[in-house]
Amino acid sequence: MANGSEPWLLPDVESLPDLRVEFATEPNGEDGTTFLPYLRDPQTLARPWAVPGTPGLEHRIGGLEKADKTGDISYDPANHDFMVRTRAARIETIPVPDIEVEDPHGDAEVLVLGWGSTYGPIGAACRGLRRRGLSVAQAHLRHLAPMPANLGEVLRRYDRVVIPEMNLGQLAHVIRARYLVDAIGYNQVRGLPFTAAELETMLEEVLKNV
Amino acid sequence: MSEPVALKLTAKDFKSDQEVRWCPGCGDYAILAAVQGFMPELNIPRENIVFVSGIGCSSRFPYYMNTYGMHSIHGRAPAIATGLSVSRPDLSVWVVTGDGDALSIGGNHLIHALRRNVNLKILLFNNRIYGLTKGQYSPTSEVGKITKSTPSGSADAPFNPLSLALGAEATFVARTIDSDRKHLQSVLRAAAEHQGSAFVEIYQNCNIFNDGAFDSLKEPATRDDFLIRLEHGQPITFGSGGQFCVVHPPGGFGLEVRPTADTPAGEIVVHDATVADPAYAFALSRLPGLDLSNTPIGVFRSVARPSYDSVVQEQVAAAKAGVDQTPEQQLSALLGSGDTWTIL
Repeated sequence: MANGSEPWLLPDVESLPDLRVEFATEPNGEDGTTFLPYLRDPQTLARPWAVPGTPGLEHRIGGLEKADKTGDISYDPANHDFMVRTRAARIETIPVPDIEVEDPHGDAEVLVLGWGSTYGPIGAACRGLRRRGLSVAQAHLRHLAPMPANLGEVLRRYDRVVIPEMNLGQLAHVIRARYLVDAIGYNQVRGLPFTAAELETMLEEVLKNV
Repeated sequence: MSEPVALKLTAKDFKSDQEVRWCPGCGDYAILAAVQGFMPELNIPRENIVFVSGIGCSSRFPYYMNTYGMHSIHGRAPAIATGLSVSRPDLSVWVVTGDGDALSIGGNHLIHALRRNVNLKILLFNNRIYGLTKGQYSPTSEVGKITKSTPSGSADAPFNPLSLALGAEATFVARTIDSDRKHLQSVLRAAAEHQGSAFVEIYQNCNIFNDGAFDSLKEPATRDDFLIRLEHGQPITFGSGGQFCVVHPPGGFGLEVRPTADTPAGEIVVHDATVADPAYAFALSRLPGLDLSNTPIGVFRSVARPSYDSVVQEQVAAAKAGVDQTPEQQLSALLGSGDTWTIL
């Protein structure tokens, strides 16, 4: 392990995003004296952060369901429903770039969708097919929650979608459920990466049957 | 250094506006009232006090304190509190946990916080049962205990929480009882004054699933004969008429209880919580019998050792001293150190 190495691009420190947080320092209730730890930013739906040591903003956080805005412990069914939806909506507000499709011939009917460490062998397989004159498109997900906003439109553009995964189809299940796309899973769980050759062989079979 | 300004807080200032929800009759109510009543003594502004808990009945505690509070991850309160305490030496950080939270899922977090001597006050409410999940045996349930998960009786040897804490190098170890507010507050006072990890076991009655577990230590008819009230600097005698005492028998490793009348005064152990060797406090922790006879309460051990917080803060201050680069420049230098190359 100690002798392993791989290239890693050093970031330019000056260009790193400023991730400093603006902590709450004042009451945010309409009465000017109350602190509402569960009042949410209308754009991001994030809650204010008041750190210990801030006078007047003492509050409690934790796993019990809280009432909207006040953060009081809440056993109200309607509030729980609202808060679950709000938390899901907050995740959906996270900006995620659109997924990009590599389809140099521009006429592919089959899309290979991957995620994680399958990027290399999927790309090599696609390039191998293209060198033989066959058209195939490749897209790779970097964000799973939320998914890129254009993913549904991209998936529907192709006659067949193939999802190679080194598991029993975790992504394929989500894609089928969420986008109603009849994705083809290709699954191996051997503890070894896919080889480009096996993916190329598999994809060639799919292309024959489009 | 100027005298601190008296804040004139009262117990009421530490009561949050949330409805307290434990079973009626739960020992947690008494502990909550005792803690709220003690807090003004700290003379620390409410905003500088944080209660961190894990999961379980006792871990609802922070919601009822009008301070900053975190009802955090099962067994992980010591880890979260460690981060808070080390990064914010201006805060008074208290951990509230139970026998399940601290000794089952959180066993490792607890012993490593104690080993490091993080500046935390850890209150372990020990009711010797799982209450929130409705009555299964816990790591402190006695052998043979019949519960929903041990219908033929528990086959497990339980943890002795104080022995465990002492084995983990804890610098402050104490025990008290939910129903004895005066004693409980005296132990909280000693814990608060300690620099480093203060571990306090509080015997707490779960009147639904393990009612009366500590009755022999509470009932007027038995408590004086069962309880050993430890007081630093005082000979350890107990019993309604002081008829029992604690001695260190020659040739033995531990401590024993003897009739006071048969024991020369010079052989009675004088309690010293500052003994450097934890073996003494450990021997005290082993005195109770299965029926809770000979149960010491009070401060078993209180010794000085640098807290993890203070050591880390000194290291950070030393690292920052004499540095004339901006943080960005330092990060760039760190990233660019060692074997780097440029791909064109």
